[in-house]
Amino acid sequence: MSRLVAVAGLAVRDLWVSYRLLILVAGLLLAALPAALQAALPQQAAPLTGRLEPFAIGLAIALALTAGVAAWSLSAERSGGTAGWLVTRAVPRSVVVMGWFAAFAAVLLIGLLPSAVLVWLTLPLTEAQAIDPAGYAAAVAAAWAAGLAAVALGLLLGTMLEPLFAGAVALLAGGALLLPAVLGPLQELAMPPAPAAALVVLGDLQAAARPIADSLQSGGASLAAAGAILVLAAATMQRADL
Amino acid sequence: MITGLKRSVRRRRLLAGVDLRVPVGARVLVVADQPGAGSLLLGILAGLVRQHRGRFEMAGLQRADDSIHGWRRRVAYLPPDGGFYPWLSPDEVLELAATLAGFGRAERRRRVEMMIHRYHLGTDLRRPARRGGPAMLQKVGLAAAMISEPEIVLLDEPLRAVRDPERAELLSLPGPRRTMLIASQDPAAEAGLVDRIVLLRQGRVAVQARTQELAEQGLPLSLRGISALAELRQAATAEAATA
Repeated sequence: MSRLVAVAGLAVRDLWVSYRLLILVAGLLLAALPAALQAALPQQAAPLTGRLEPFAIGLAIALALTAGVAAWSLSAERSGGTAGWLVTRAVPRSVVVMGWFAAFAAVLLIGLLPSAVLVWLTLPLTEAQAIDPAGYAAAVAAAWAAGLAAVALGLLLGTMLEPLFAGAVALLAGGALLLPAVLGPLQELAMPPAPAAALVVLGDLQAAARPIADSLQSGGASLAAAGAILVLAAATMQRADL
Repeated sequence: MITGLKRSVRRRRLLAGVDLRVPVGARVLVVADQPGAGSLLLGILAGLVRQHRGRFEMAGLQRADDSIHGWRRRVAYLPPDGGFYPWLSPDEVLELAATLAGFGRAERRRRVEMMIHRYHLGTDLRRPARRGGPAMLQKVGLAAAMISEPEIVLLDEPLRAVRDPERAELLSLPGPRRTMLIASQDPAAEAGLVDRIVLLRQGRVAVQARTQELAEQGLPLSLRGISALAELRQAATAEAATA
């Protein structure tokens, strides 16, 4: 456990030192900006469902970016020798993967929480009253879980590919899984328990029939997917050259 | 002990069946005709790179284990650039290395202080190590590798940025039972640090000898000198077979 905490701490510091942490948090905060700006112009206000949709689209982009950064980071850790330095000091390879996962989970939380609060606070009072706060919180939590699945996918690619290639593939894969759901062309991805369904629920919260149940289903599926992908990533890391 | 170790990198067979037996306490210089072959061998021994074929046994174990008190504390590996995060300060690197080695707080501090003194890390220990330049990175890397007082030390092109005589002093690792393998593309720089030489030619051990034997033949400690010794040995073997 102490080794996991040590690796996660190093990963967070590495993200901070290289400005990647700032980029990720800024990306998540920027996702809230269109919704917040829309609310600041009440005369041109869109319907309530329209207010949250840009937030969901922005989050899909930010989460895909996080997957790309996760892939690039772990791959750079492998090729740069720092993963090797840890492994030669009794840190299991699986703990290196888990440590990076924990770091990205924390970063996602740091970015997503203020972003979600900002969107909530900028909603006009009448509209905020029309949304169930518990449903909103559940949808945001499920979006975080979808982000964890995207990060796990990024880490899996990071154990196999070169840094830039891994980052690009993870960015594209994350975008391909999340964006079509919120933009509408692929209905299968938008149906619970698909991980991307969390973003669809968030974008269309007022119209959602069972926002909490759908979010819980989607969030649970995301966590299960993240777990399965992480097991795969740990197994791939076990065979990787460091 | 290494038996039949094989490994290719990008379709180049760098190790084509390495068989090697290194006695406890030996200081071995590994030189190869193909760049990267010696480093690859050390990477495999350190448990960082997988071999395609063959096996090896070090410190009484057949493979690297992740236990704090086992293989990892007994075998140290130093890559050319130190290997750690360069934004960590020397103090943090040593503290982290001691923590990961499982030492308690008091023992950690004692060992960190000892390493700072032994490896001339100076007093400016709270700045990122990279600000001290490549020499500082490499010295901190060596200090971190040695903090657990390992039995086997694998050094890949060690301390290239540190000048002699400081380099020779730092690499004169104490301990009569400490085994050391140095992979080097500049054998002459390792004079005085090693007592045995191994030449890898086309991925196989072409010669394994004491450095004294080189001197007896009047050959220099260089790739050419070691290759000449390998040819002399080969000729002698052929002559004996004919006789």
